[in-house]
Amino acid sequence: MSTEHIRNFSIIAHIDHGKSTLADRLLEMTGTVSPLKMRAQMLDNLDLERERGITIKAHAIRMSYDAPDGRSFALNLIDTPGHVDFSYEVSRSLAACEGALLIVDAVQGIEAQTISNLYLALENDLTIIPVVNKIDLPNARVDVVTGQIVDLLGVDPDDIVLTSARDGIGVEAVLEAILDRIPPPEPDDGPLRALIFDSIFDQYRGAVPYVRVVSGEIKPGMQIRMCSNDKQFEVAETGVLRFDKAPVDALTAGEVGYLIGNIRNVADASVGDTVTDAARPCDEPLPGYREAKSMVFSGLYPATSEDYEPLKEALEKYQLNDAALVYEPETSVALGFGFRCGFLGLLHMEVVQERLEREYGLTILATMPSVEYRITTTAGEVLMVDNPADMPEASYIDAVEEPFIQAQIVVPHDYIGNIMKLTRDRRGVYKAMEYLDPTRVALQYELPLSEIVFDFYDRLKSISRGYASFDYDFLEYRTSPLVRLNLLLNGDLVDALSIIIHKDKAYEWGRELCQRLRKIIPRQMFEVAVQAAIGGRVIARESIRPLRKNVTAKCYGGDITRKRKLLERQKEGKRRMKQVGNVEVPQEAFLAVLDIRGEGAAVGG
Amino acid sequence: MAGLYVHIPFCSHACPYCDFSFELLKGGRVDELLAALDTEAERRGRESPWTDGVFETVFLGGGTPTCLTDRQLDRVFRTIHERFRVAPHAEITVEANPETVTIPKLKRLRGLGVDRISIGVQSFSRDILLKLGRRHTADRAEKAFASAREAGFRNVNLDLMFGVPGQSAADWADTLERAVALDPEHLSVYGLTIEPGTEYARLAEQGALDLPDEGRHTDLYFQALDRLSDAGFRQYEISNLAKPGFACRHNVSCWKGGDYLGLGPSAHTRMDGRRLANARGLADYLHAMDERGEATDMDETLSVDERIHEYILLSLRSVDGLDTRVFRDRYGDDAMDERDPAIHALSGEGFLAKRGSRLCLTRKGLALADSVCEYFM
Repeated sequence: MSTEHIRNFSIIAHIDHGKSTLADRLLEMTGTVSPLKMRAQMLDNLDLERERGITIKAHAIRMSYDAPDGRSFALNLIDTPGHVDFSYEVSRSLAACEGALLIVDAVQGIEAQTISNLYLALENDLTIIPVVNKIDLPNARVDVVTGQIVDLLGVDPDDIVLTSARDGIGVEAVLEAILDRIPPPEPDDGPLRALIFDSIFDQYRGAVPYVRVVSGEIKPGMQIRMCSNDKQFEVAETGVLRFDKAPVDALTAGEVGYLIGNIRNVADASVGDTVTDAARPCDEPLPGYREAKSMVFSGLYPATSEDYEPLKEALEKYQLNDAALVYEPETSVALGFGFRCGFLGLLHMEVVQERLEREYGLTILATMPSVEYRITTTAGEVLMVDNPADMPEASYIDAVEEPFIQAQIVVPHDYIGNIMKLTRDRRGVYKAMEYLDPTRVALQYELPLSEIVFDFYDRLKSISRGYASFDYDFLEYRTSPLVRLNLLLNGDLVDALSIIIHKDKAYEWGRELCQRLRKIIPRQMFEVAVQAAIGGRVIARESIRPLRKNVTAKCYGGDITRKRKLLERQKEGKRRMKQVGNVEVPQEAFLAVLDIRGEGAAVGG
Repeated sequence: MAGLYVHIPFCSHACPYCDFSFELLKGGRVDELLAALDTEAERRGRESPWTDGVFETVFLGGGTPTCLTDRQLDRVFRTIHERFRVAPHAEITVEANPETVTIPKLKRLRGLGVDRISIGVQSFSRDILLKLGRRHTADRAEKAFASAREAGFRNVNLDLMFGVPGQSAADWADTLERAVALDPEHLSVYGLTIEPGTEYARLAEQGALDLPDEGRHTDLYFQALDRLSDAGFRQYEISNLAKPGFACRHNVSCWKGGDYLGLGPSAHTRMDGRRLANARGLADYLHAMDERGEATDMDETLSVDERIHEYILLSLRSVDGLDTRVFRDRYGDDAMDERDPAIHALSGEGFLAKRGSRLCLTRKGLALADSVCEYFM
């Protein structure tokens, strides 16, 4: 097909601004899928995605459209993941397009995510078609939102398309704008270069990369090479993405589709990589490739030791579809055998945990999320530490650096005070504030990543009555006065509860943690000292008083069997507890620690 | 050595703390019960292992067996002697409440071969007796004891209760003094337990019971152990003390793993590794007897682990403790060795003491016996 008749585009929107609904209408209007067959918001095909109203994986679909003037077009919609954790994936999806629809809710207006994704689109030189959606809602503020967009993009107000995707209003105008304003891809018959913007795993056919061909041609029988690792594969099939995969003879420059080549390992079909022709390789791969980088780490442990193997298998299977998840075995004195896992971000972590539990029927204990610290020892050695248990003793540490992020928060100006307080509590550095319209501001902060991995987003929502939106980008490593805070039960270290924390916050955290554990750990036969300590210095202490009476007075006849069964049941219950020294710790204790910040503002907001 | 237990589920009134299987005597189906007991005894008497055995101990519990008439009591013993062989020097115990015993009735029991009487005194404090909903007075209890002596009983137990709402250390001391002054052969001291489904449980739920906290409860327990030990009683189980030679043979046999046959509603039976229980309520029991000629509603064969657990529970509750040599003989070295860390921990914390090959609860361990047993399991 001539590139003249191809349009590759993406949709950028904040959660709930109507991206999926508009996509559905486009699919309907182009006859790609009949309304009857269409599940609501079919592009989001993970249950979890639908429940949360977010897109976790990128998707792509090709539509055929016959314009009123008689020309036939192929429209490739490349849907982007809708969350900041996946901003790299978003940027690669956008790089596969020439244009993007920027959807803004006529009630909500521009949000943090809208802005950050818009910047990504502009970095990729995309043509932006602004769309104000939900214009039929009674509280729609079309003029205000249009004004925001004009200010942000410097566009002519007439270039903004007004729609109500739900009712089909304005959808034709969107289609026209796609045809008229988004440039067709450039033809290029140089050596093959195809950008991988996503991949799926098919249990029979292996990893299936989704690609945008930038130059040259890809067809079955060819030997292709992955530029990142020089691995070669023979192409067995090429095709375009309809509702299902539809094989085609070849994919040429400008086209979007998939390829199958007996790629066993998803890591060999990495997002951002360039596919080239092994016989006639390109000089330079496409720009922008980087390896998926874990930002947040947590130990995942099975609730019972029998579930270790099932958890291992689940992680192996899961990783086939999500190369961004990294894990390795680790052992905790308190929790036994488990896995240290690295995630792209918080949402990614939650999603992985939730899917492991839901799809593999596992109960998982997750340790406190941690970021990766850069520690310079007194010997001049540099260590990357993502598990507090691995942090060396203070006397061997010269400096600790932690990752900082650049955060964008968009909020109605009434809540600026609350945001200022929250970000101050989280060691944020205020950088800039900009009014998007007379009532909404965009705030810029630099924050330690460790301060947002924990409950930041929920707090932000609650102090702004749900109005604040938030987005972030990694900034740099900075030196901070960080210490390792340990928790001890009767003098024994509970490694799974150690954290690395700013020294000014250690005392409060330690006190909260001790109090919390005092309430959760059941009284035992002996007194239990709960201590929080930095190195050898105890900074907080609580004590769990011992039981003073637990004895059955009468044990005759039937009492004997009753009592035996009761004790057996209790004993069985305790098998699910974790043993730290001589103290039995219920699993809830480990979970409750994660709730501490959720409890209130006592520690860091 | 086997024991026979007969459950007489009738009481003249309900005590608010009690969760035993009982029926009010008034209008109760006593004769039906006695007939059913005879049918059950007749059947068990023909079955192994009871048919070949001689019962060394007999225990009539309840309920309140002494609320039966003389004629009814005669009938119970006729059943026992007609259907089973009872050893010539068997220990035969009957439970009694102070208000239900008179010298003639006690003499009659002596005449039926009963040589041990267990009187539910609970307290010698008027207030505490009222709190417990008991119908007798302290004087009546003392009189019941004197009557037992008069009737010729040389082996008398008094049940006493501590941890009762509103009970002070002084109240308890007074009750212990008056019990000691009577010079019985045996004393059972029971900590009040709030059993689900009882009137006390309902009141406790409402916060209407002034119960001692666990510390005070345990203090009252130790107060009794100390005072009674001074008075020459030797503790041989968590709640039981006796003058030398007067430990209850029936219960000691049960705790040492002897077999026993239970007759009547809710009665339990032990036959080596099997545990059986009769229907709990009188109506269910009578119905089952009527329908099937027997009333078993639980019949379990214990696994090795369950036997071990039972052995741990019973042996640790006894003052002789758990004999590690016996344990190894019965259950093997592995079962013993795998408990080494637990034993070590429990000894280290002062809950268990080693006496030769035996492991015994310390005083600290007594108050937490259930926790220790569970840990040991």
